[in-house]
Amino acid sequence: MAEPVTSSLEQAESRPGLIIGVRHRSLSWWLKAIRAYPQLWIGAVVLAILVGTAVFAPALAPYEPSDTDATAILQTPSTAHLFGTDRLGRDTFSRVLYGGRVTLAVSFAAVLMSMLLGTALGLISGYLGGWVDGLIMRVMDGLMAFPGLILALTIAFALRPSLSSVIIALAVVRVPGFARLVRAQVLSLRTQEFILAAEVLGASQFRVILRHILPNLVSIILVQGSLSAGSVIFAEASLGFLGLSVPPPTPTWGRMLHDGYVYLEVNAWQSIMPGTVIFLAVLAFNFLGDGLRDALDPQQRRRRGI
Amino acid sequence: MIRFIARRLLALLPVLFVISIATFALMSLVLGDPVLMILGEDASVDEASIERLRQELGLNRPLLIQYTDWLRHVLAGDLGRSFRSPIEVRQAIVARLPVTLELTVLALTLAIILAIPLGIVAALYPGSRWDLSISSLAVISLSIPNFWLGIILIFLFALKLGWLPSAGFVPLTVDPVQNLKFMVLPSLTLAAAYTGSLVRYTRSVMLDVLAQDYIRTARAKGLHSVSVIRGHARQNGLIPIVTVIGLELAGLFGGAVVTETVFSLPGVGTLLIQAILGRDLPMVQGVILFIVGAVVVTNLITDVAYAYLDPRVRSLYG
Repeated sequence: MAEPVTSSLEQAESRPGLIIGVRHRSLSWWLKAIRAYPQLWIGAVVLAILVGTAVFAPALAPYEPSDTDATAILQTPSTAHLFGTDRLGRDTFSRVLYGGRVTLAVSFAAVLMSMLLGTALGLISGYLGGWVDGLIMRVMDGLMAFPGLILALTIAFALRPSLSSVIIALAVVRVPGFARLVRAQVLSLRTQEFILAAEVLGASQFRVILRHILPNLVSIILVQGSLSAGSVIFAEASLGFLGLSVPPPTPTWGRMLHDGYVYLEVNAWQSIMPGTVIFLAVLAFNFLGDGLRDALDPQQRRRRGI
Repeated sequence: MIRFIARRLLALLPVLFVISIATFALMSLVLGDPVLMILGEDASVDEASIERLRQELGLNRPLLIQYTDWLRHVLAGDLGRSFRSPIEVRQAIVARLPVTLELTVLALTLAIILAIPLGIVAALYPGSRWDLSISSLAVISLSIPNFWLGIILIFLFALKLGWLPSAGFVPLTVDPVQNLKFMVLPSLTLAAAYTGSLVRYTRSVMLDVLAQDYIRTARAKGLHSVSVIRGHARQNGLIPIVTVIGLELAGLFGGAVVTETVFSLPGVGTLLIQAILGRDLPMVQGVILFIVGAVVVTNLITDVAYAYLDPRVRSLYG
């Protein structure tokens, strides 16, 4: 007997007719897809720009992020300093570019960590059931009783400020979300025939989880990941604003906002510019997540004629 | 109903246990030595005085004893004393609570008044221009970092226009008008993200409700859409919305910490931040426990309200 159906993705690869028109991507299909999911594309483009400018910060930044200039302190935007300068005469535009590297890398690492840990816990919990499930889910319930930001604050406080403690703090907050989502999906998949078939054929628990259940969850985990990334950037910036993120002199968007806030009356640009970038990044991830959710949902897709 | 509440309370026990373990462990194990925290990690302090302080605080005892002792005090309402100032943690929280309470209640009211009508309008005309603009506004307000919104509001209304004060606080009991002036911008700031998510939720719930058969029947009878909403859809839609309002309060408590910091309001949130920056262990522990306790209690009330509003849930538990 052939291998039971393993995943909707593989299914799509082997039987292209099943998903409407995926195989024949003409220019008009792309135009239609872009028009059907404007959120997805706006989100993706804004993110690409933010990530691109962060990656190429050394090439793009007109100044070194830590270069001070005592003759140009707290300047408003000009052609010499696009976003103005801070209290030490450092170029805010360059610092925003470099700050993006830290903020985005920290957020990416935190999302990845929570995604891996949460998915693993959710798979184990949902598939094994019993006391393992009870134990894992009670711990998750306990964690979820903490407001996200306050849990992150607590962990960041307990671990002392450093790059890794911020990543851990942000990741722990997001783990229960992934675990619950994955567990719920596993519970509904477990009783389906292709899983029962795999079990009857003697596949090990490990194999069933990895080869048959996990592939079906890829899209939903990605959507959750994208939406989480927005919240994580938000949380990192909040920690930075409260003075509890990565310690100085490393520039992060939240920290810049925190430093600039003191000089709000003198030069508001120092807090407005980093804040705008944070806003754009969070918005882009939310757009991307919403768009992905719609685009990966076959019902929605049919309704939009894609 | 009583059986339902009893069941919910019982289910709460393991969660409370996890919370207490987490708070205790996080603070006592990960943090390192609280004694050094009190003495300010000054290398010049001699071993003998460190040892004496440790003895005094009972830190020489086994962890299990320390935990049960700590838990007994917490259950009796004793959250300990601040390391930094001669006050009890409980007193500090009680003194700061009215500000936070006022802020969250104002923000919540504002969010509900704005979000529910907007969500319903968006759901009534899905795909229309109204729906698109309301939904886009919702995502935007959901994505605006509250500290940034706060800063922009201060910049516009306090620094540029001079209509409202930028930071500070007057108690409601001292001067209600002044008090409201100080609270307008913070409440708006805190309400923004909450309004966004509530609009989205109301819209999706209402879309579900409006697709039901009994709504089609009501429409087929020739009822006007306002009557359909009033008489048929509102009641059924409100039940899940109440649940979400309750569950999302946790986020509101988190947002209050940031909002209070931006506007220098003397609330529980700023108390927490000061305690964290001052590495004041009992204060941090106490405030966090208090906030988490508040979240657990609101969730419980939400569940009970849900059962109360929905006869189907009520009948499940007799």
